[in-house]
Amino acid sequence: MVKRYFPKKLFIEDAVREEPLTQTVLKNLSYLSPEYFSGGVEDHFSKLSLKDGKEVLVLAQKRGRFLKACPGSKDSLCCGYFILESQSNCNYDCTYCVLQSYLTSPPLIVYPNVQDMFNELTGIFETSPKISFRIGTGELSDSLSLDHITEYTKILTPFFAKQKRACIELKTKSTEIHNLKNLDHQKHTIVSWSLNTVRMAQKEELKAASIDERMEAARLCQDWGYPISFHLEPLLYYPEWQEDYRELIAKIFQVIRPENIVWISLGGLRLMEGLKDFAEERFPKSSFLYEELIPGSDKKLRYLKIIRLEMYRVISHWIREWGGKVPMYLCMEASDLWRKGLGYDFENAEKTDEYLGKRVFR
Amino acid sequence: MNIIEKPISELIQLSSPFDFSYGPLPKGMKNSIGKMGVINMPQIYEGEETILITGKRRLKMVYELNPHQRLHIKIFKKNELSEEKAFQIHLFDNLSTRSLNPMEKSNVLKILKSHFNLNPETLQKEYLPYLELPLKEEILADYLKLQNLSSKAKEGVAAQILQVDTAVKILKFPSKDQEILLTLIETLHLGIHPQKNLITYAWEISQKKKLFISEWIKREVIQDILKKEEWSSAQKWAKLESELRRERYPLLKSLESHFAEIKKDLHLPPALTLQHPPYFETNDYLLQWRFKNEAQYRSGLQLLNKIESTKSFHGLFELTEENGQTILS
Repeated sequence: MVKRYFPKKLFIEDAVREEPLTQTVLKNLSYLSPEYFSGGVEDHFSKLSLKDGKEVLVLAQKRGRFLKACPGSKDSLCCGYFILESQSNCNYDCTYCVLQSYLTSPPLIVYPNVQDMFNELTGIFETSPKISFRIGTGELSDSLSLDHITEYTKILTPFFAKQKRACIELKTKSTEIHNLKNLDHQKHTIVSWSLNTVRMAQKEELKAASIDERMEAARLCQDWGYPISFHLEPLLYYPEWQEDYRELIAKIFQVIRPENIVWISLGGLRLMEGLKDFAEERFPKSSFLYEELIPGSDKKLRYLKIIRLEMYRVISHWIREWGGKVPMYLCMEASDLWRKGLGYDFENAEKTDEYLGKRVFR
Repeated sequence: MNIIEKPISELIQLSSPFDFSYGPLPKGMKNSIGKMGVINMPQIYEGEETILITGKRRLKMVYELNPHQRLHIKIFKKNELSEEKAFQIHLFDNLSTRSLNPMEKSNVLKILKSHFNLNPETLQKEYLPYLELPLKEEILADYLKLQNLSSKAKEGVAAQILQVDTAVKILKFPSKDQEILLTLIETLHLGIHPQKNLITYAWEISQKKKLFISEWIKREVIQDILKKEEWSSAQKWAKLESELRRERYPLLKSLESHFAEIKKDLHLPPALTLQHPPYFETNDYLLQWRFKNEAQYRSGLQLLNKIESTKSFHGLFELTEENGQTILS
């Protein structure tokens, strides 16, 4: 059974001392004596190793914008997603994780200046009433793995329940869903699991909940009326991939009814420049490091196109077989891979967003 | 500090724990000493024991030239300077007259770390700049790792035939693979980039296939390449690199081979060159067409129209489609 995460050290920036979320964290981590600091996070914690950083929770003031458009990838068909930076870094140790080389500060950081975030979001939503916003907190962190400490969902869910054209997707590999029970979500909070085959989850997604645990958590969220989504990323290519992914797709639809799934994304393994070196040093026994990966126009390493295409075609076929019309999309892939892999593509990011938003903004 | 005269036979016996020199003696040193004698006096430190601070190689030369000679030397007493200061005299005496090779820089850092217990931060901030090395943690780590190399590899590093980062990567291999790789670098006269490619391919193949490079190299196809007497080192390396690539990227190599076959079937004249998309990621084939006059233009057009209806031409696009896998299998 997955172990709940608890940090060994807590640091609090003076600027967020009095924030309500800081008080919640202090209550939930009463076994720790916090240390207070002032100044930038990087000045204080950049010298921590990645491993040590995961034992440290930092509450710091978010400076700059909370909401950013997903940068997508060069030459790919985007889906018009937005990223909400409410926290940064992750307590899990997935061998392929981009955060190992992407983030410059090793500790887990939570930004408690929530009112600043809501003011920014409200301003954006009010000035863009015709745009719908699919927003996620799971790009730079696991959306839920710290929720027993921060109780962030108790703040985010009611806020998004009141929005007409905005929803929040909480993407996780955890089972930390308990705070979601009994919240008024108005189906504008999507609880989402990043999934892989049982074999790869055991081997590559270290410290994360097992696939069965994640699916059981998804079942509970379905019972509580939440829309569900899944991200089959990164798809990993290995000799038994077909039987393993088939088993995974079957498992998804045995537990979750297709009408409750708002979307499923597929994305082949991508390694940013430099990530391979990090991963090789930290996880030398990882299976994907020495696969046949080649650089794309965005310089990220990927499987050869014919491999990715075969995986998308085969897996999307099974999803159609069991899930009917569940919307699917590809992450960081060009239009021709959508067309040949899924059987359709879109003119641009707006059209893709419209297609995916249909199940949320009815 | 005193200056006294001592017999060379006595001086040559002194231990020199701070000596960091590595590699052959500088050319011309013997001639220079033979003609002018020792211009820069060797220095001695009388601490717990009497040690030679600086001048070991000069003394060796003098001894070779005349073992009965007497030399003027500088002597420092324990109360005059610390051991660390004595080492600094030796270091800066060298730095002011010559460039240290990478093995010598490694030796300097090792002495500072092990003998004087300097921490990595001090080493990095205070000594890397003197050694003309970038102020980076990983550079310090790499130079310290050089100490673990075999003597053959150390010689390669000192002679600057073997790059420091490549040498550090070689350390990841089992010792019998290290020897093979060093031999290849040496015998094929590999430059910086080929060295890097060799080590990267060799490492990834050994990890992916769980094999020793010393075993892989025994394969007939590899031995045939290495034993080909009529080939130059550059030709051998080109063939060897191609085999390494085939082993590391078999699918990509197959696509490249299929493309080469298609191109051959198309019988393109030299004026028309065809390139496949990078890594077969898109369908953007590149066709270059050179013509000098209208007649050449017309014949080129005719040829292009003709190949358009061939099976081989259509085969090009299958290499980047989902049935590419089927073609390869």
